[in-house]
Amino acid sequence: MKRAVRWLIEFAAPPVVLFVIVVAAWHVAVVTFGIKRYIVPLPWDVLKAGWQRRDSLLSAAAMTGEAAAAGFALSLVAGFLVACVFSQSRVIERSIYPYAIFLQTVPIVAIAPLIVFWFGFGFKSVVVVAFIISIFPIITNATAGLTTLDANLLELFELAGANRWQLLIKLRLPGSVPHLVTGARVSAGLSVVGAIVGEIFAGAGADRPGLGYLIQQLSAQLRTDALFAAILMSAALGMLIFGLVNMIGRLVMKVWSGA
Amino acid sequence: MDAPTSNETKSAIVSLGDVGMTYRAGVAALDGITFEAKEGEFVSLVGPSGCGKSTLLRIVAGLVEPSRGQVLVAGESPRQARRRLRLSFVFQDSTLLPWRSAERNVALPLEIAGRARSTRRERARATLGMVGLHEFVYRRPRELSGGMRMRVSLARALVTDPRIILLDEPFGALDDVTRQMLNEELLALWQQRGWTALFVTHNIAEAAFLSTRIIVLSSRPGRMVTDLPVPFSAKRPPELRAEPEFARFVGHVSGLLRKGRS
Repeated sequence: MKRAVRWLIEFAAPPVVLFVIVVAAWHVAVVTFGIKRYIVPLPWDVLKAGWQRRDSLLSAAAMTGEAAAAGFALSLVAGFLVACVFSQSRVIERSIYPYAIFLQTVPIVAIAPLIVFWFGFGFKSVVVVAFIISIFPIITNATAGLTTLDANLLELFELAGANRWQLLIKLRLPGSVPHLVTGARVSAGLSVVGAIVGEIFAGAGADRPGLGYLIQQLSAQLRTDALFAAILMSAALGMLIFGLVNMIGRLVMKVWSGA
Repeated sequence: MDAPTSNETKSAIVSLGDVGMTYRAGVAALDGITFEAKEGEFVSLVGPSGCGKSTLLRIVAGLVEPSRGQVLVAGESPRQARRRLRLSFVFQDSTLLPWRSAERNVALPLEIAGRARSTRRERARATLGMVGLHEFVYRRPRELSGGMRMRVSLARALVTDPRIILLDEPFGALDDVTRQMLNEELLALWQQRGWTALFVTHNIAEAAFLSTRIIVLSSRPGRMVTDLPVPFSAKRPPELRAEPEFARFVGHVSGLLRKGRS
């Protein structure tokens, strides 16, 4: 009980206090400078708009979450497979790696329309955008995990007469787990960004509107209060997915190294 | 450099003839290393850090090719010999797999060799028992102390019942008491099993306590300063460390080691 109280004071109180200060400053600024409500709404307006549209916001968040989760899952599997190939052949790694970087550096917004051409308006394109943006951290981290090995461990396996396959199964794969968890953490947050960007371009074709589509619609209608609510919802969704992956990651690490 | 000792060639299990190592950048690491280790001997290699002791061990293991000279293990090249006879290596740190329990870490060499699961378990447990860890078979490396991790590492080297064990400063990171205890255990295991040991260390007391012979190397490039037998009987109680003759011998070797420092 005492510990819980101390935790509340030490860790929960500072961000809450900051939140109250920021919201108050926001309100005061809008009122005193006479900023138009459709440019910056009052905090209260945002709350009201969010409550009124709670059903559509939640349904949109679920939609976006689905797309992000699908894109993330795909990038986890595909990224790990790519990393496995990279770890087995230097030549293949060297020849493909520049294109993986290309995929990373090209702004996702620039290739999103192309993806819509190829995969059509709708859920599929949204997943593909989320996938593309979130695969890179998986590839780099998993490749690092599979290739940077303790020199002595490699010697140990060589002395024991291990073949390539045994080296992969008994050393490289299990050894890459911590790196993979790190990659997954980064990539989970990115997948939400990818899904929202994807929906801005292709969300119109989906069964239900996602957050990206909603954001686009609301901005076109100058519904700034609801737009703010949708943006906050996106942030909440990102945090939820990040937190979930973080939790799973911790669990995996616990199983991995005991203790 | 002293002449090679008068070991009979037929019983030499490791023999090095004028072995030298020069790295690509022209850095000479080892020069003119010639010695033989007889079956069942415990040979320590002492020398200042960076004198190529570890490299020498890796050359004997066939992990590194020397630039010059001849290396024979049981009459064959190290790589060939490794396939036929059992050779184990103990690294400077415990080099355990963090995701495996002590038992499964110890079983690793048997697993790679394709031994049956039941054999692996049985042998790994028995060997962990030999190093006093029978209660810790399910613990992961993270849950063990530094000394215990080194014991697991030792057990992993012993589990294949090797004929040669190469030890690369295995106790360097441990505190003094733990080191001494592990020295005593290692000595007892060696007396039981009779493998041949090449032991790299820069701790002279440790070398004197454990070995039948000490080879002193000079600083880079590592050359042989001397190759001298250890004058104590095979039976060595811990109290030996307090004997004046022990201190005298350690002092003598220290002097030789200083001479080799340039």
